Amino acid sequence: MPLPHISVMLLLPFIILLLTTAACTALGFLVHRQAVTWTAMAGLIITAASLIPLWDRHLSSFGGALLGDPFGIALSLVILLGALLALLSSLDSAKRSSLSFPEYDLMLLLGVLGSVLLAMAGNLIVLLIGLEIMSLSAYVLATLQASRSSEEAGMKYFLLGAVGSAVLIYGIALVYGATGHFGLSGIAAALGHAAASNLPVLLLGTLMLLVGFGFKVALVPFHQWTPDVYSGSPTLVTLYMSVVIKTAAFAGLIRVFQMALSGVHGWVIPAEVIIALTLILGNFAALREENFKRMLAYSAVAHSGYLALALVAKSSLAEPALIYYLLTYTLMNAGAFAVVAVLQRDDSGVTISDLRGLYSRRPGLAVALAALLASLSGLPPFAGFFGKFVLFSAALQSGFVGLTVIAAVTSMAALFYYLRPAALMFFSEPAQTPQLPAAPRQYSAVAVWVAVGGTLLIGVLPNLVMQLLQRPLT
Amino acid sequence: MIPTSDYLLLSGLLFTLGIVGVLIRRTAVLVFLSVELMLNAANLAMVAFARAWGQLQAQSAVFIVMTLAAAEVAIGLAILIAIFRKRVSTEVDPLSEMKG
Repeated sequence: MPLPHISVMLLLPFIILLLTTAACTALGFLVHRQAVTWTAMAGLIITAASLIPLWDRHLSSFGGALLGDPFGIALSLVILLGALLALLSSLDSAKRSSLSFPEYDLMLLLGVLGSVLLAMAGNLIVLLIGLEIMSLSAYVLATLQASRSSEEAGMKYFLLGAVGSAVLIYGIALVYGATGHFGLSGIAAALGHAAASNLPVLLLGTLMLLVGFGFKVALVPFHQWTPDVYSGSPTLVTLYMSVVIKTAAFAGLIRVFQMALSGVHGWVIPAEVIIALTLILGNFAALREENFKRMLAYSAVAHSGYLALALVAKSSLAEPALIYYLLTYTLMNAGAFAVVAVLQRDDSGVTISDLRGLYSRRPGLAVALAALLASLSGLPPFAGFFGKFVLFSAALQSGFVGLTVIAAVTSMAALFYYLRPAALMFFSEPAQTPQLPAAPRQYSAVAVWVAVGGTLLIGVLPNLVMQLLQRPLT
Repeated sequence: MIPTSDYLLLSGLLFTLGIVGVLIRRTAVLVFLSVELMLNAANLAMVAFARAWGQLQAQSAVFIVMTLAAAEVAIGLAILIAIFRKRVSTEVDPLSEMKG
């Protein structure tokens, strides 16, 4: 038997991430926490730099277990961007959340390692390892703050995440049983000549994979943990979870279903039902939330619905649309949570009425938050508009008319809950509630303005990104 | 030789027991135990399939799943202890201060 082919170039990003984590662990004993954060950020940037030369080379390692295709690399870069924004805004906001210790950076780095592994996995076992590294570090992050709500959030996230993982693992076992392969390309090849008696097992395994990933990306009805975990966790952790974990979980979901299981019959209709429920419930539940952080949590559920359109779409536009929207989503959600982290008095976040008259007190932040909310709601010229446009066209091209109509109508309803806080910020008198904190926030401000600038730039010039994605991605 | 379908039946039974346990048990430790049952059901299915296909890779995958389960236990118990210190109970129901 020949030795497996190993491409060291492809392993380099993982080696750099691991070395950064090790270095930060050692530094954590010696230096101030901010120095650890800067080291972590430097490590993330070097990792991104090591990914770029791999872009068009389609490398693979360990007999296809690790894939360096543009799909994985693009989503890894999005993951690294999200983690960078999380670290950047933690430089000043972490102290107030009593999160200013190196464990935050370490767990975040480990989560990024798992996420990048998940984005590049070409084999169900590697995918599982990446997913678990990512989830386990996220459970710790959610519990990191010594407060009752953080512990409650961590416990809920852990229990539901563990159930999701168990269902996913059973799905992997069944798919293996029906096809005899763990590799994604092997599964796809084996589907053509699978014995008829294996088909029920295969379908059951596929549906369990869908449910398992549904827990991770928060699709209805597996989303119940989302509002509690997002609002109970420290805001900086919520920022990280809502962008990095979502991107990585979607990378795994789309990779498995587009590369390996697209030939399985019978999962598309359940997936359509789940997506429709997610769109409707996510958007309408967000309508009646008074806590801004919980509203953003339901908005994250609704966005899972939009993103999952790329799951069923068979068009060649599906993957570019997904990558573009995940990049946009990372920028706008990271920005919005960074604003919450600046404005909040404690980690329960801000209520929508706290935002009343924000423009007269903090004009810069109010304009930034309004731009991010407009992008989240899908208004031009922000990137959220073009992102929704390509996702909807991908779904429409594949003939999912009903689903596209539901997505369009629910995003109209979403305008209300995104634009109400925006209107309150500009047109209302300041609230009589105690003033929001006014400490200097230069790093968070940089993160917020990078997010706003990014959404505006790729919203006005979407071809900057889309042009790069005009190639075979997997 | 015991047919693969018998193993799958047992594995399905264990998995169902695990799901029922997750849904009806009210203490975090027992919910956690039920999740472990689901993981072991998956392991059993993988080993049975590996025998049916005559391959070793699923057998080794089981060890990976066991390792993941062990890591999960470590983190889960740590969270549990953090909660127990403040609330002196591991019941799941009182963990609803955020009205989920």
